[in-house]
Amino acid sequence: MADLIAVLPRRDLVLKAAVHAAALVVALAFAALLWDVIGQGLSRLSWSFLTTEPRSSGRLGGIAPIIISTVLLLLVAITVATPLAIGTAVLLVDFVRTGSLGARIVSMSLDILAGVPSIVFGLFGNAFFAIYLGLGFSILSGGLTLACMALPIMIRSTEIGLRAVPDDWRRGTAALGMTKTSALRHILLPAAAPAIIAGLMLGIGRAAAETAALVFTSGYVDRMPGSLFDSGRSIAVHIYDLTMNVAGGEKSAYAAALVLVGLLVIINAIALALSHHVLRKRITQ
Amino acid sequence: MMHAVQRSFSERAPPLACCTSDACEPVCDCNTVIKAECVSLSYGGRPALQDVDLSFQRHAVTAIIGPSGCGKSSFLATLNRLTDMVPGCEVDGKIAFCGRDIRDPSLDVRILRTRVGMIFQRANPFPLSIRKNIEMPLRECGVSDRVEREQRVHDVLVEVGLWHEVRDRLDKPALGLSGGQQQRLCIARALALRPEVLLMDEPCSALDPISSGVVEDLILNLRGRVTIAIVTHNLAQARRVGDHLAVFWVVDGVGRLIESGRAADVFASPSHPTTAQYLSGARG
Repeated sequence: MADLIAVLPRRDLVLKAAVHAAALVVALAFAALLWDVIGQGLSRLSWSFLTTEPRSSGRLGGIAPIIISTVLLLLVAITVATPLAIGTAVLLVDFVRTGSLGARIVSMSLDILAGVPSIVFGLFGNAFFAIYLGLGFSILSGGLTLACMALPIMIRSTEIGLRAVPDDWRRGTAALGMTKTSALRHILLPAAAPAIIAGLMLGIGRAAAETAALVFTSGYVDRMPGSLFDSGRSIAVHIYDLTMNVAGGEKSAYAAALVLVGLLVIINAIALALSHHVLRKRITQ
Repeated sequence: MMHAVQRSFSERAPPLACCTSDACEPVCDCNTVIKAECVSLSYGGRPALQDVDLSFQRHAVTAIIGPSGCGKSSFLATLNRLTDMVPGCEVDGKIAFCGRDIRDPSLDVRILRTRVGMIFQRANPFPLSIRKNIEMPLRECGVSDRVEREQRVHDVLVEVGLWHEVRDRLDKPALGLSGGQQQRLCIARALALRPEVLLMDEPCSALDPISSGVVEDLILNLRGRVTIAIVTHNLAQARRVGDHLAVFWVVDGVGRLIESGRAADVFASPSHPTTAQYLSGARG
C-alpha cells in the first residue's frame, strides 16, 4: 500500500524548484527596481513637483508641462493607432484568406516593423512627419511616430483576439442574414475587446517608455505646449536628459520615473476597468 | 420548354424579400420548396458529395440520415449557401428555392438566409442579452418598428416554450441559459425572421436526453408551418419526426444519396440493401 502514497518523482521536484526560483528572480528584480525608484524619488515627489514648471534644467521645480506633453503624445498615438490596428486586424482575420499572398505580406511587414529599433522609427518620423509633411518638431510628429511603433503589437493582439472568437458566431450571424459590418460591430469586436485593450496597453507601454524616437520628432522643449504643433518633452526623454546631461538631476529623474510608473499604473487600471465593463455585459454563467 | 417554365416561375413569384411586417406573404405556394438537382460539392478539389437529387416538400419534415463524413451537413449548408463561407468549397449543380436558382449571382444571399434559416449542432447564441439575440437580426433585416419587434420576440419565445422560463430575465445574458434553452433560443431567433425553411444540423446531438426531447417536440410542433430539413444521427429520432427520409452513404469515398422517400415507406421496406442494413442496425 505504501506505493500508493503520492510522492513527486525527483525530476518533477527539480522542475518545480526551478520554475519557482525563476518566478522569484523575476519578482525580486521588479521589487528591487520599484524599491530603488520609490526610495530615491519619493523624497522629491510633491504636489508642486506635479504642478509647476521645471527650473534650472529640471534640477528644481516640477514636471507639469512634461506630464501634459506625455499625455498628449500618448493620446495622439492611441487615437491614430487604434482604428488602424483594428482595421488591419479585421482585414487579416475576416477579409483575406489565411496563407494568401496579401495576408503573408501584411504579416511579414508587421513582424519586421515590430523588430525595428526605435531610433530608426525616430529617423523615419523626423524625415516623414517633421520634414516631409512639415509638422516640424511637434507633439503631432512625435505622437504619429509613436503610433507607428505601437501599431505592430496592437494589430497582433487584436488579430489574436478576433481569431479566438468562436466561428460559431460568425456562422450564426451569416445564417441570420446579418452583414459582416454588424457582425463585427455587435458581436465579434466586442468579444475581442479584452484582447484589443491588452494590445492597447502594450502599445502604450512601448510608447511611454520611448526616448530615441521622440528626440528627433517631438523634440525636448520643456515648456508647457500650447498646441499639438508645439514641441514637447515626454517624461522618458526628461529622465534621460536629467540623468545624462544635467549634473545633480538624479533626484528629479527618480521622481519623474516614479510619476511615469504611476501614470502607467493609472492607465492600466482604466483599461482593466474598461475590459471588465465589456466582459460583464456578456458571458456570465 | 425548360425556359418557358422558368420564366413563368419568376413572373409569378414576388421578388425575394425579408419578412418585415405581419402582412408579409409566403415566398410561394408551390409544393416543392427546395429542389436540389445533381448537387456535387468538393473541398479544395477533393469531392465530398456527388449527384444529389433531393426535394423538400412544403411544411414537411425531411430527415437526413447516414454515417459520419457522408456529406449530410455539407449538403444542408449548400441549401442557404453557408458553404460560401468555407474557403475552397465548390458547389456544383442546381438548387432552386421556390423556383429561384439560389446560386444566381443577382440573388441577395442575405435575404435567402432569412428565408432559409439554419440551426447548428452546437447552440450559438450571441454574447448578448436574450432579447437582443432575437431583436438584432430582426432590426438587421429591416423590422424597424419597435412594437413589431417586441411582439415577435414574445411570440417566438412562446412558440419555442421559453417564454415562461425567461420572461423575467430577457435582458440577462443568453449565455447564462442551459444548453437546451440556448438551442431553443437559437431556433426562436431563426423563427423570428419568419423563414420558409429551417435547416437543422443535428440540433439535439449536443443536448442531454430531456432537453433533446423538448427540442424534438418543438420540431413536431413546427411541422405543418415550416419546412424542415433535419440532419440526425439518431435513427429513432428520424423515425419520430421525419415525414420524408433521405439516406446518405459514402460510396467509393464520396458521399451520395442512396435512397429517399416517405419515411414510413423507407423504414418499412427500404429498397437499397445498404439502407436496409443501416436501418436494421447491421451497418453504420
